[in-house]
Amino acid sequence: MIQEFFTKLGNDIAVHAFQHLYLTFISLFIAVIIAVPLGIYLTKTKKEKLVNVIMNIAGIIQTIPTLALLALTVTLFILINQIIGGSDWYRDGGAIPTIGVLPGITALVLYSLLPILRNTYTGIKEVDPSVLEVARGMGMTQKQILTSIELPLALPFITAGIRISSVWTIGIATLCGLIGAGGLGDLILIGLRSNQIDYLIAGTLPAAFLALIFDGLMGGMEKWLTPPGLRMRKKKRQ
Amino acid sequence: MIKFKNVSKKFGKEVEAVKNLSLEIKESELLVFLGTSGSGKTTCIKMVNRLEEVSSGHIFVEGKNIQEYDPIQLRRKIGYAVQHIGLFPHFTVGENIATVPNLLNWEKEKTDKRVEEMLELVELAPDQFKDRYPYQLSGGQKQRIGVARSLAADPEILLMDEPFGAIDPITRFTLQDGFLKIQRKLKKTTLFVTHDMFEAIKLGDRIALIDKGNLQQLDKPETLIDNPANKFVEDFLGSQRFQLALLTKEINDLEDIKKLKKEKPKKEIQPEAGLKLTDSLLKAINLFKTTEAEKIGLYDKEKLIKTLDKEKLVSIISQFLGQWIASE
Repeated sequence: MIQEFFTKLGNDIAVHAFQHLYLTFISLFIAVIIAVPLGIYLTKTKKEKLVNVIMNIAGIIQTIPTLALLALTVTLFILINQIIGGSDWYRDGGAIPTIGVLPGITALVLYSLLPILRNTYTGIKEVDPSVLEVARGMGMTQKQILTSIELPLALPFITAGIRISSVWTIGIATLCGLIGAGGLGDLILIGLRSNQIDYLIAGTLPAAFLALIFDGLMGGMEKWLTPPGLRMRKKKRQ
Repeated sequence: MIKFKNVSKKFGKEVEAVKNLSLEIKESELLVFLGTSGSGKTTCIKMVNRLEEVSSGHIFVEGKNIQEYDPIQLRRKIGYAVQHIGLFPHFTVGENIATVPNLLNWEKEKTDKRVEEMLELVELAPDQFKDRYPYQLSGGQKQRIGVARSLAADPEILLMDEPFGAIDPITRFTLQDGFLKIQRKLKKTTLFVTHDMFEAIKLGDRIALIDKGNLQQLDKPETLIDNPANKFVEDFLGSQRFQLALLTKEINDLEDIKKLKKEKPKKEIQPEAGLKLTDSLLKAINLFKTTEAEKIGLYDKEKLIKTLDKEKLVSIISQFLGQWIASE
């Protein structure tokens, strides 16, 4: 029976799992590129209001239900098309695709921003002020303090943020099938619409596995990136 | 070496942490800034390496106004140690000590050698401690590493902000003794901040007593205790003055001993216990408590000049202290 399952769906699973990973990786990559530098900037800026505004925006995005966020992204893209191409935009095709991979990735990026942003910010803010004062007093430049003190000490936090985001993203990416972005969600949707249990299993189980594998991998990465001087302190505490 | 000229520091518009401070620290001198918390003593030394900028007035380091230095370069030539130590938790002990040498791009071999020298200086075995991480150290060991780190690039000037403040009293005494030994050897120009007057008296060549940003008195420890400049200094030293006097008064100061010194030295039997003329009265009293010897030798440096009965010496000291109290 298992053999039958794989001859029928093996290919589908492989293709959709690949799409799924593709969506996840690209979104995470973009989210990291935006959130880490932004998080660092927020720790350095003196504009406390700006910090609050940005953190709140990231927080609000997080509270929007996933499906609603996907729908919102599509709506947003349609609006952009209308602004660019007028109300008849759909006749000669919009400036940007309103369904598919692009809105899918956009929604995923928006969703994964907050954990990375928040962890980068707190990771750096948590660095012992006396350590920073001495670093300054010994003649380190701001850049040296950031690269050799603050970032190494914040790295475990930042990785933890990326870990949370990656597990979320894998979960949420299953919904991207709804807007035609592909991924394992497609298989689930087929299964649901046509009442085929094998399709449902072919979509859900790999998605769950991917999430578990990612969690494990990122957990290992987190440990590996923790500076040894902090790694052992953690062990001691346990 | 370091000169404060009419230096004031304001935080915001209201708070004036340091008011019109002028003083000079000589080369190789250890000057203690003594005061209660909030007195402005820490601000005084932070202005020297420009962690705080002066609001008005000038500070000169080696004859040059610190405003003319690049702050980064200035800080690299001044050693800095603070109460919370601030060891970098992700650096090993060796890497911590090598911080400033690395900033100055020393060659690796030179830095490694220096790290070992520094560990030996603070009496921690290099091969045992070099590769440890800060969390594997006791409070006292961390503090020693903090001092070693501040000395690593061989700065002419040291700024120390209550470096032994967060340590239990017994370890603190050991650290102070260790630091005195190092200071006598290296003779760094040192600005040392503390609120502990015993520490100030023990370590300082001179003491600057500061209150609410004003310099109250700047004098040698013994002068501070014998001749408080004003009511504040008197109150600050308060009931501790007697104990402080025990620390600052030396055997040399005893009139009866001065007389004895003039006598021709006779041949004496080598006594079991001895005191140097420069030892403090406190040390003498501690000796009386611990020794069972009946005869105590007095030494001028290494030379035995007189052997006295313990009883006799005790009575000389108590008489002296009696007179001192009566005169106060």
